[in-house]
Amino acid sequence: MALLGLNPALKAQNSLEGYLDIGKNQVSEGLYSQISNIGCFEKTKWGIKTGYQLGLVQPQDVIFNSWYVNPYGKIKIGNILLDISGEYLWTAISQDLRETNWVVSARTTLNHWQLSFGTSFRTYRLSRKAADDVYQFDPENTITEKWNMMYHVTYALNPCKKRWNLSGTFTNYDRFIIQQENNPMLNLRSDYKISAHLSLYSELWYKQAGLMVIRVTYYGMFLRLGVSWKI
Amino acid sequence: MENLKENRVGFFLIIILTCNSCMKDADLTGFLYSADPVNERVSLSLEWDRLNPGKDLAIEGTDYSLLIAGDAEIGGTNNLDTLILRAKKPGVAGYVIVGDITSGDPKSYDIIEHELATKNPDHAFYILGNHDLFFNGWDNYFSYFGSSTYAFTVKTNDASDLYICLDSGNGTIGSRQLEWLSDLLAKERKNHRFCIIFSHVNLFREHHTFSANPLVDELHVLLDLFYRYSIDMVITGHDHHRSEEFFGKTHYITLDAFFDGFKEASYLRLEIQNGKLISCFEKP
Repeated sequence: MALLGLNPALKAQNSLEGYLDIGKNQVSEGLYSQISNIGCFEKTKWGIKTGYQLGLVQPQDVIFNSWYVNPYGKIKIGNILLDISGEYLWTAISQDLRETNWVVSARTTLNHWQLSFGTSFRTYRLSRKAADDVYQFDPENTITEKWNMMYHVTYALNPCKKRWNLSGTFTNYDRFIIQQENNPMLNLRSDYKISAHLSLYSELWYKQAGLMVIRVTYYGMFLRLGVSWKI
Repeated sequence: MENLKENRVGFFLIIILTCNSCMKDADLTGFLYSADPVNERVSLSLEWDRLNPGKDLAIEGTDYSLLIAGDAEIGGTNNLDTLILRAKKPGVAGYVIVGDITSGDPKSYDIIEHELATKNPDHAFYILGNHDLFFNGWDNYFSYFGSSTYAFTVKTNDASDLYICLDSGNGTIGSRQLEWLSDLLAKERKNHRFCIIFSHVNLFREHHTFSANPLVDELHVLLDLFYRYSIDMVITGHDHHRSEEFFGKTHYITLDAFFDGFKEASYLRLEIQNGKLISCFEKP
């Protein structure tokens, strides 16, 4: 997740961001790759982010994987600046299956830390076309998981204004996927500002399964290469 | 102030003792690594299946039932004894335990061995759960039960039903097992009337719990697979708390725990009657 554009200390700042993920996991049937683009329009007291993800190489029989929209407001409590945001995330699991999430979260950026905490309501449902074709036991034909806890803790070596940075994150969500609260992920990130407007970054993500069944095993890794442009 | 300090210490001790009593059979090294990861276990299971074919059942007539329990967590054997006795009644094809057969204590396997030798169940099917993997439990599981990744069929006079048993003891079925499952469904699903899948770890979070589920990436793949191949039921345990969900064409059932002393202990009776698939919970 870009440190740029998320820092509430920054004033009225629009940005564009694009990244490529390449990785492998237990269900990817070899290497997968996805590209994502995110736009951010930000005023002094509020902002809105939206983005989409396309699958380039992946086992799912879809290309348009996900999109989201994330309006947020900036408030100050004491000396702490907070981004309070709502989000809607839509994901195509396959041509016939969907996952949607409604998210509420709060986020703050300190000198070296970025902290975020929130909750999501996840719903698995059929696409409208598929729902018409299926005999339904349940008229809604959905499964909803309520109050899924979301957390994100980043520690950065340098304050984010520096030209370069290294950071580590412990979280259960990424831009286009929200894991259950009991499936944390780790990532290491490096940032480099080419100019005042253009930054490059890379992230190495590590996923494990079975932490909370006390049988941890490797699940997957992916590399993210991204560019962020402050307009 | 002194009282506050004492209360804090007392509170801390209560938490430690509570955790300790809850985790007494847990192998805490599993927070760091797993000695027998799922892909290696699946390879051994599939080899075992190749060398030990013949789990299929044939039933006279058209109707039958199957009893399915989860989280027996032996120790105590009263509930297991009841299950074995009821599975011997006419019309019952056998029973399935969907993981956590043991509490994790290695001595549990000796108890099970004695129990099965004396009660002599007719047709029993087992898969492992995360507890069964504690303290290098896979070696014990494999020597007592063999495979945890296999399929069996129940053939009646008019149809054949496919039952698939999955190993999810690590909270993931792993790439090797996913490949096996996908191939099996592609080749066999069309040849069978009903298809029911057994796995240990529950897929959905019907309520809040620290206990793990498959990662969302994996859940997406499984939901798609189960939808495309019109899986009739997916039956899991692990959560100790009964829940039922319907999604697409599939009935997802999480079982109550079945261990002795569990107040809500129950098992599922799966009935195939007049060409219909019916399920109901029964108390031991």
